[in-house]
Amino acid sequence: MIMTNDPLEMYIGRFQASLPSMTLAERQDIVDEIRSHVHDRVAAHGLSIPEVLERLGPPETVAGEYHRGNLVVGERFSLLVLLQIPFAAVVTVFHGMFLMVVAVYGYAGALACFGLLIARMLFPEQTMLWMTPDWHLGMGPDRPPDATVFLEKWLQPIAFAAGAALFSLTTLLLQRTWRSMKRWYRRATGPLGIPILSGARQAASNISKEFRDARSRLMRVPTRLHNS
Amino acid sequence: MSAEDLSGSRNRRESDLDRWEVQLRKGCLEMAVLAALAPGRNYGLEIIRALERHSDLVLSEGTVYPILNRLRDDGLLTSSWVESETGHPRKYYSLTRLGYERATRMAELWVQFTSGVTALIRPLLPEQMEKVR
Repeated sequence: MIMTNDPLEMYIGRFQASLPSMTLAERQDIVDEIRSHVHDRVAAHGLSIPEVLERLGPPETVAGEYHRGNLVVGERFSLLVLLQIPFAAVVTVFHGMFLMVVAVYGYAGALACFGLLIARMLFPEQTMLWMTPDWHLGMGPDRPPDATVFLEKWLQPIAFAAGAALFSLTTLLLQRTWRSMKRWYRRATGPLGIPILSGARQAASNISKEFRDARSRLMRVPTRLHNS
Repeated sequence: MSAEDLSGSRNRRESDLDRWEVQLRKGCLEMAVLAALAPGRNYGLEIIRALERHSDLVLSEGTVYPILNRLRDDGLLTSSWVESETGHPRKYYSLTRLGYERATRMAELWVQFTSGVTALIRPLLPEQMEKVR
């Protein structure tokens, strides 16, 4: 069982457990909308997540509103919904691989550019760029007599600009891919929202609560006996 | 009757009044949500903001989303996810033709209803009614 202290995830967990039976896609749609609302409120008003959640109302109450509406569609479960899970899992894995490739090549490229910038300052002769008349590129002091040196003064600013651009673009791409991957991950882990499992989880949660209540009642008995 | 009984009775009456107010708000909320979408498509938080600007119908923000879902299921709204500049997608709602017709009809009924009830409650609140006039 995954335990989390994230107030949003705790809220979503309780919310999902209290939602009525519905298809996986509908459940995911509702949960995504609640998440979107929380992020919008935080971004727009600078409220903390617990404050936003308080304004939303208790998760069981909000989920209960879906019970009372006409939204409840009963125990529908189609093959299409089942196929969505492995598809989402595959897309999540591809996102993960893409993240790794972008991170490695993007940051390595940026590092190489900044390295060239520093090397140029320390070893100007060794980092001289040249090109022969037959378009052969090279670097260093051992250049052919007919080679032309180029980007002499411009190598440092270009290396800096390229390094900064690569770093920024890589970070931006990673952020976007990460967010997209999280969405697909939630779809892939959707089976937790399958009505049957959801009902079982709710039942287990109720049993656990009843057990805790019974235990706390038992704990109070000796105290009362002692007091009397 | 003891002071405790009196206090309990008053609390019950206030609770009944609260329940009535909640029901009243809920009854109006559906029409208000449709009306908030009359100018054009919008997403959850902006709909809530519009409702907050023009009324005090929204007691708990979580009540608006189930209503939006139900109205969509009834064919009064359509919804679509749109990527936002903030980095996360938003679910935009817009009125369907049926939704627009329903909102218009509701507004007409509302005006008829409130004008009748306002006339009826005038003797209860003479001073406020003078101001309203």
